[in-house]
Amino acid sequence: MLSDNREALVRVKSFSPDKIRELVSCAYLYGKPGTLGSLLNRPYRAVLGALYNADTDGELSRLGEMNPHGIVAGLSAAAALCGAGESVLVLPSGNGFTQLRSAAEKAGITVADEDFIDCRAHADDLLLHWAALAAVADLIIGEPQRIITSVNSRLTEVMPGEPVGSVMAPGDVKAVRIGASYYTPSVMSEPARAELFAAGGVIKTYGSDCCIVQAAYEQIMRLRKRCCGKCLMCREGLFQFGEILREITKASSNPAEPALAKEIGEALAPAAHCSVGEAAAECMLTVLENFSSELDSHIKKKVCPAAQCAAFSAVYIDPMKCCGCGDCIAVCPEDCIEGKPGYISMIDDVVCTKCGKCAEVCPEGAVVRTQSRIPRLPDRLTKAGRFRR
Amino acid sequence: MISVSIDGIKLSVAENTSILEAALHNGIYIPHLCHHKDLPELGACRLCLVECDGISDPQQSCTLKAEDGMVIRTRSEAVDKLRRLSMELLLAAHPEDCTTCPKYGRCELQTLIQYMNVSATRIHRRVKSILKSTNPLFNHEMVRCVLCGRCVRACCDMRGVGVLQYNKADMETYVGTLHDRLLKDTDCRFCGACAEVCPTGAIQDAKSFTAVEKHDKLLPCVANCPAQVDIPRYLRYAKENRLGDAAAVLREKLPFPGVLGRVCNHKCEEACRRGELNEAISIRNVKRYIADMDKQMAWKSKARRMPLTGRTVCVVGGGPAGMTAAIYLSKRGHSVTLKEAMPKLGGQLRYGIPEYRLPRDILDSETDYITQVGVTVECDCKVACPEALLREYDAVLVTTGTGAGVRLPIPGNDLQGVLLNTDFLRDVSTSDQTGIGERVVVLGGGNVAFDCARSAKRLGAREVSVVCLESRGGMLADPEEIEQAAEEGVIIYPSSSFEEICGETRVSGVRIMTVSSFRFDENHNTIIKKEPGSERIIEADTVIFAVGQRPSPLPESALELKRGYIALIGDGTMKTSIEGVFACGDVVYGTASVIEAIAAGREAASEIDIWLGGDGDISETLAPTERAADKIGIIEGFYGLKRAEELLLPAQMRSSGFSECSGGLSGDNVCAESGRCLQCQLRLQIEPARTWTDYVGKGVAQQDAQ
Repeated sequence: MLSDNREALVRVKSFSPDKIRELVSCAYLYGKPGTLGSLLNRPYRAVLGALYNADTDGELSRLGEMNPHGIVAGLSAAAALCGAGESVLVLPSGNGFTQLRSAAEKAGITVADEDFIDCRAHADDLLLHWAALAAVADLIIGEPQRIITSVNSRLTEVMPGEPVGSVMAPGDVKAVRIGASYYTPSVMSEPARAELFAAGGVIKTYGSDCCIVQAAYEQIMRLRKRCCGKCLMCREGLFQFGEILREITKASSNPAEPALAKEIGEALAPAAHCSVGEAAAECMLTVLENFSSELDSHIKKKVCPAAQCAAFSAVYIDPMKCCGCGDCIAVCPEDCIEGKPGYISMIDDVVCTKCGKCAEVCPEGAVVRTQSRIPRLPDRLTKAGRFRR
Repeated sequence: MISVSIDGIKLSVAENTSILEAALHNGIYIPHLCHHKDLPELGACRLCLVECDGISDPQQSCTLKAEDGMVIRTRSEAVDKLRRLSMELLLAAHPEDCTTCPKYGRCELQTLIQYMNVSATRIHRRVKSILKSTNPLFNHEMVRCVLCGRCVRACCDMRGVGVLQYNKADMETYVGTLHDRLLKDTDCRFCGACAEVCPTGAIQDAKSFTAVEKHDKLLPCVANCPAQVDIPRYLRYAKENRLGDAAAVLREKLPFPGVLGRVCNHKCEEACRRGELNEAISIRNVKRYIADMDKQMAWKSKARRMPLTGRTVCVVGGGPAGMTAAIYLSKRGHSVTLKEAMPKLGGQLRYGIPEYRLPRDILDSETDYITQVGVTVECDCKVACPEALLREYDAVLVTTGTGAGVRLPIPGNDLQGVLLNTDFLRDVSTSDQTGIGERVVVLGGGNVAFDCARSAKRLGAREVSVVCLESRGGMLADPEEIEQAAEEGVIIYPSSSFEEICGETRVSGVRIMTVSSFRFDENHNTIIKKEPGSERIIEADTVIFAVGQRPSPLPESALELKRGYIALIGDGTMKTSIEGVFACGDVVYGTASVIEAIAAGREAASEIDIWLGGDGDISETLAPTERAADKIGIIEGFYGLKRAEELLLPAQMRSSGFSECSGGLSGDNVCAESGRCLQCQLRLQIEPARTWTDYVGKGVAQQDAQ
């Protein structure tokens, strides 16, 4: 790794333009997939080093602490490469990044504290991700290109061409999210390409106990919080995505909604001005494409395969496990659990909202959430341990 | 120039033109919402999509620059589908309250909905929880906002004010101000650009208006001025310290700006939209300063002089109406003679308005202009029969005004010591002998009554009273006149009836009663209700009637009269019953203001010019005609800026002589005061809302719609 930007600049000057183009051609970019090499054909007013607008995970920001000199050197080099007059390092507001900040200031780079980049205001600027800058620095000093990623919150690297799964621990995987896209586990055998990581650089795996619809809903909500609201398609598209996904998890959607979501997603992807809209469209479209059976199950069969969507499930207290402590009775917001000390608690299924608070406090793990038939339960107060099927 | 084809129509457009602009300019309509001709593009609404040969995805035509040979189609299946989806998404977040929205019928969004025939039925609707806020001049109901961003761009990019911005509360983006302050607590300049460009009912004028009413509602100062002086323009020049240009603006409509700067009844200030924020602009005083500073009179070089027509006009009466008409008739190339009964020009300006309100050097310098434009002035020349002048002149204009005072039919009205307003004020202006004593009672409550009272005070009367029928609040005189008179020691008896002037041969007092109410019946007779037992006598040795003025009779004239005033034949004309004789000013409609007389004089000049074979165009372009800068920037604390106070002599010094009471505004104050102007006219520079029906139906889209 580089320790300051001077070395990088000296090296940039010693390379021929073709060499540089070749070197940085694989560096992945802010927002849209593509290569840095192809972007250097036009002049820019400034080069900005920033995190993604759509970065709802914030995990790659740790790069700022891990490799501050690489980011700064990459930014100086990129600015020199495209002849931009100014280079700006954008830091998320708040404290931190002291090393990165001082390295940038020392290198004569303007530091801006901004959580969101107005891409319209930077139409004449080149926007590069911190990770891309670090990669540029690596390429210049002749180190192999690596793709920096975070797998389930662990920052790591993957070499281009290696299978994506090589950085992941084996286990129960139903879905893999890379950036904002949801893939089936088959993606793990695909070779890693920079584009795969274009929208966030984060890998998250989901086991069979996760509902992808809910995961996507939460993802969309995080993006809505980031959305600046200026572009119609992004602002209203995200709202519709959220509503559609929420209604699916609440068992109240109609069968036409996936088609509507697809129409909006396909219209949003090319319309987006920044990564927020792109990420949301990718999230929605990949869920529709790769997890259509899970969606169908919710919409048509009224079953959440992961048994996570409360609207489809039933909650009961396993009479074989209940110790009669009564903790569940105390926390129930609907006051729908019957019981007394030493007796098996019973949930009134009609009133229960399946909120799951009882399950959280039960010391025996006796509260069961199920999508299937409820077994025979006591029909009157029964002493704990006395119930026989 | 580059050539593009839109819907098969070949167009030649300038470089760097967007496809949307090229299409709209050539009458081809492409639906659009966030685009506005005068604002930078945002490219947010996705309604203006078009197909472009060689590009796979539909493109936003507002940001797509025309390139040579481009082939564009404004409609296709893909474009229509995307456009409709955008509209559906937009409507999902817009309340369905069109029928109760004041913008109904003038709403751009509404016409777009009609054009596209889209509703948000298959989409999740959402209700935004954004409250409305009421600001001076504008109402914000941001729940109707579709976030097209026009107002933000108008405020930031066009005006350089930057008060409106995108705010975000949790997940909801909305247009608002920093910390959601009310506009009055921001640096808002109240220019109205936001309301002008808003395509929905989100930001609206508090008082809505139609397109026809727009000019007058937005520029009430100009609309209220009888002479239609371009007030915002000269205030802008005054603010920029371009006093010569400001004076030129005044001179385009007014031959006597220095006079008006002192005595105008300033209807403009009553209507000023600034008044809805805090206080109206002190327009009259700014005008006064501009006129007083205009020593160079650079505008004179641009004044229009038509070649001589060989036609002759005689104007009878040298008051403001007559002088104005004479000036403009002369500029039209006619040979004009002005006959004035008194020794000097000015009419009521000289022989009515006292010197402490209008110094005679100001008057003299402005009436001099009349001879400069070639009018032959004949003073001390009383005309008894105007129509007889037709033997010598092609046309005659009678502007003899209302020079006769009115003597009310009450007991004692002919005692010694009873004077008429007109005679008294004339004597005040011309001689030292006015015939007043120590204790003077003025009957009447208008400006003339106060002119009499304050003059009497200045002439040394010990005790001066003003008695009038109206209550204190209902008096016809300007509030500042009443206030200043009171400061000078004039005693005011409002709500009082004049019962009798007491005395044997000389006045000894006036008997009055307290009036509880009064009204006028259908015959213009006063019905007065008095409080029984409220009689009392104000002791006096002089009584001045100041209860109105009437035209002096024209003893040998056969002109048709109506209640003593010269009758005109029909509306909107200044023709009298005798062909070739015209009349205007007070002699036609009764005592009014100087500015009305000037406006009437201008109108008469135009009409007589037409009658003499001209085109009647008396307009002049004396000031620069450049477009005002759109970018007005911020003035700190603009909302609360106080109206500049005029410099007023202390009451003691005022009442001891006839030197001018008011010093007007100081130079620094003039700049600041003009800077308070909202510059409402800037809004008229913005392209008004246009809808699809405004475009000539050339494109495919229109043909389908029809």
